[in-house]
Amino acid sequence: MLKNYFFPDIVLSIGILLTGAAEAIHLYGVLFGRPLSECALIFGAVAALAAAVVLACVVIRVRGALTARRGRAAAPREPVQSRGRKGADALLWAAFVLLVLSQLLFLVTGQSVFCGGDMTVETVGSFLQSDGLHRVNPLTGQAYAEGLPSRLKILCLPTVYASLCRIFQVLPRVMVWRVIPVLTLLGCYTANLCLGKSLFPGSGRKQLVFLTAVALLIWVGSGQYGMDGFGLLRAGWRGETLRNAVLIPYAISLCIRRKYLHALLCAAAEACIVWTLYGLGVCPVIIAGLALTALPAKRRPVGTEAAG
Amino acid sequence: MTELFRNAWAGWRGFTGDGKLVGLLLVSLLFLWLYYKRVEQKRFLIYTTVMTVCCIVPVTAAVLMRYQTLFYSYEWIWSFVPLTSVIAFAAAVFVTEPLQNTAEYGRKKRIAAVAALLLLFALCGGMGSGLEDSGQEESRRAEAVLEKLREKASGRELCLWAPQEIMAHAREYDSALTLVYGRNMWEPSLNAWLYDTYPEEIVELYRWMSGGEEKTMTDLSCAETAVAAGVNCILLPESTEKGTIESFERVLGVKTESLEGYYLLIR
Repeated sequence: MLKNYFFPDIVLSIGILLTGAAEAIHLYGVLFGRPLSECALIFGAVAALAAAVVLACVVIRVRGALTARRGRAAAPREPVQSRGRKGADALLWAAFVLLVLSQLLFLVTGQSVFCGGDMTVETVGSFLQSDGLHRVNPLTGQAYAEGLPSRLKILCLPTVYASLCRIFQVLPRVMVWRVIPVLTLLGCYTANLCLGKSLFPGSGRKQLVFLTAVALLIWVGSGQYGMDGFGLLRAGWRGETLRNAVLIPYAISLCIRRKYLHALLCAAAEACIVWTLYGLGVCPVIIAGLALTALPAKRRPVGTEAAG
Repeated sequence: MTELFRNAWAGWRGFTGDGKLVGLLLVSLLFLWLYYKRVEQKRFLIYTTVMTVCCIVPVTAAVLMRYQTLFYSYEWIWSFVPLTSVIAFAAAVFVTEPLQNTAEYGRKKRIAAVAALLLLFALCGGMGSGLEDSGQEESRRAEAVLEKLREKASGRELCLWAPQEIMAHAREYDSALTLVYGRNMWEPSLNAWLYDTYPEEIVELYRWMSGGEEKTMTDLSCAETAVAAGVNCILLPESTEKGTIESFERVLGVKTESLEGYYLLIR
């Protein structure tokens, strides 16, 4: 059952389950008119549990890796890689780390946020100020005259951000413009790590080149509206960015491994964070599209396409 | 539907005008199809190719635009194409397969090919254009004004009416402030998030403060409308005429103070 699962799968799956829990808490707050402080408390408890599970998995993983390393040290030595190949790998690692660090630095300084058509900071601020969800018009701070579309009312991201602001006592603009984009970027690399492992199973070097190319393309696309790089480096708090940079690569990775039911979790998460048509969104189309491409392959004998 | 086609076509032209990443995607797909036999994940390649064609052809692009709700513009239908992933996939195949496996390629040639690939990436991104300071300077100036305003208010609840550059950042900076109108007054895309609209007299207040030729209200009626709307804090630009300031002082019953290049009336 757990065949073809990687360690980053655990992190991403817990993130998606946390989104589902956040949606439930948000709906509880909206439908029953509960105060934000109560929702933040429940979310904090769930998030702490999720963090503990991730931490436990990391510890188990590190211990397993150390044991395997000791085992390798005791076993007869494998053929040594050529010096040139080792040097190229080191160069690739250095380039990748440098690119990611430069992006993190860019995000932390918060120099180039794009707020056109977005009012997340105001919404989070109004949640905190009124200690309730969608009680006042975020743009004016006055009571709603007509309200807001119910499809938007059920999106959970503002509640998540407001809860995090309440728990860590951070200003909304710091949380939304600086902290969340960092988490989104890290989520993007985790999702692309899964995708790299699915695209190039068993080839660490190809996976590293793939990740380095993704890092480079994030910088390349950062100046063009609608590109992943633009979303990640200038609007990492938006639901569309989370979907395009985290959920979609992860859903593709799962579809390549033929884990369609698990991929549907990405579609569910998308419905909780992005305004989609009657609950449908981009993820279901991608999952359906990749499932359709698998149909002709099924007729061929098994093993003609590696892991695909 | 014709309108939707026109939007799809205009969207494609606008989308490909800013950067050349779509061009790079097409080159990547071409390379992967030429190298088809060695590509491990053919399903990923087939899906991406089909969706790319759907996003380019106006008829299918229009269908996708309707599917994603008309709330989103053309650019967002490209979410159906995992553009970054497929270019990175092609780059990884290019760097690790043909270059590594060709015996006649020397070390220098390989380095030159990788450098050419990096240059191509850089050129496709518009060389950093679009990353310039996007209103951050204005935001910082507004913050300085709002910080001083908070000190002056000393804990009172304020309903603010001010020039656009201050109103745009007021609720980002301090959610305790209420505003007579919000950013959606001049940024119509935000109206998609709300059903609320503004009465005509509030729209008049915006026109008056913007100082355009469209304003129809007199200074006195403007001040009275603002007070009737609950405003108790007004910032007027430094260029405001003396007669106007006197009208406002009379209606609000307070004297103006100078605040970071604005006239402040607070009661």
